[in-house]
Amino acid sequence: MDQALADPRVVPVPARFCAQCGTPAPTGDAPCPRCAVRAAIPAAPVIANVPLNGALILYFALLAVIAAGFIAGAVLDDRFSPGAGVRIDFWITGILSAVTAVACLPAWRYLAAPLATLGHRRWYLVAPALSLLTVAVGTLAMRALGLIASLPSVDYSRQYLDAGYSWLVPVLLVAVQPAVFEELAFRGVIGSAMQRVLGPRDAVIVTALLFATIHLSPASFPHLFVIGLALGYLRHRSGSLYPGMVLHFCHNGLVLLLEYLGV
Amino acid sequence: MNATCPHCSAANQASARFCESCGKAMPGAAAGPRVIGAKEFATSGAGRDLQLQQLAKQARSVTVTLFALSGLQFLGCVIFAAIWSTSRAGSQAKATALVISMTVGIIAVIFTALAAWSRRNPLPAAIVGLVLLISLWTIDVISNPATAAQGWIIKVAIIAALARAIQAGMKHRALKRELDGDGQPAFA
Repeated sequence: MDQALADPRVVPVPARFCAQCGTPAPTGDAPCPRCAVRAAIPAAPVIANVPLNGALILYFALLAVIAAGFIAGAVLDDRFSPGAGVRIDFWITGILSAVTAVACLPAWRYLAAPLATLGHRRWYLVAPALSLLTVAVGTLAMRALGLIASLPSVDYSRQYLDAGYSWLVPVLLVAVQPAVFEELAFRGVIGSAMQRVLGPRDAVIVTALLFATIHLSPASFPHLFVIGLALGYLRHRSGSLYPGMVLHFCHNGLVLLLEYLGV
Repeated sequence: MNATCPHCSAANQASARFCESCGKAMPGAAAGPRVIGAKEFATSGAGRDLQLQQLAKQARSVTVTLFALSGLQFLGCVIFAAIWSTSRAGSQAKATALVISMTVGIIAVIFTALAAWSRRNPLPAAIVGLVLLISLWTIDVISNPATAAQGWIIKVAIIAALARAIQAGMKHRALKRELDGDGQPAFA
């Protein structure tokens, strides 16, 4: 035996094979890597649903705040001055921002990377260009639906101007706040959770559908879904949340501009 | 009690299925069927395949729920379209019926698309279906608070069905990832 081992023509082979599965086992008393691994897998896998649960909790919390805002607006507007509706908007916007900020804390390790990077500079040219397309899609979609049925006209800035506020208020509430906080919520917290659970392509589609749904407007659903896809695509390709924020800001800002110009 | 390997003549334990010295299959294991106890079945290859099949079946059950929901929405769309066509021209009821019919029609198309998607990929479709349904019920409650308690049993049953499909879909994906990362089957 010793002579065989000392012979340089003898190729050393593993001294042991596992008696249960035939896998070459490490020498010594170490357990078989395959059998040990198989034995360690529990019969019923325990799945940590934490990423998906966190995303759904954030979504339904935002939905609850928006619903409360609608109900408060319907209840209070009739009895008080028109300024009450604007003050409710301020409150709702603040609460939505706070809820999103709180939700970012447990998801911070997934948000740190897309917030720490700006992405390639070409995305900051793509984003405003895409916003022209998204505004065109949205306007055409609403006009097309309006040809079929009379839809209530939506004016994002009128209520603030009528209450005596300057143009800065609708710009902050309609263009800046949604750009930052909706991106943090949807492409940030919810998007990263969906990406871990579903993979990148399905995550972009699902996040876009959720984004379109939370606006609670079936007539706007089709073009909001398209905008959501564009935002998700930007987030995925650039690796950063900021190009999406730029697209979102440009889109909402263009809508306000078109309102100002009376188009 | 020892068993001798027919390939290399090394001594092995009687319960060994593979020779510890050369790794080849021992005749005792190959000759008869491999009997697996109930406890070991869950962690064996066949047991895991069965689990995957059961979980995939549960996840695909969402297709039926989503198609049923889209059917109900289409029915609603048709009913409101009928109301629109029979209402007096220029009346408020006519305009309202058309808007509602269009709205419900858009929702029906969305649910149909989700149901079709769920046939290939049940998990994301189930997630979106659940979120969309609860959001729609929220709109209903906002616009007409009296409808909040209507049909709550059916609503709870639908939510439970969708949540079950999501759970099954998540477990299916996790188990599949586990098995894919575990390597090739041990037996030739």
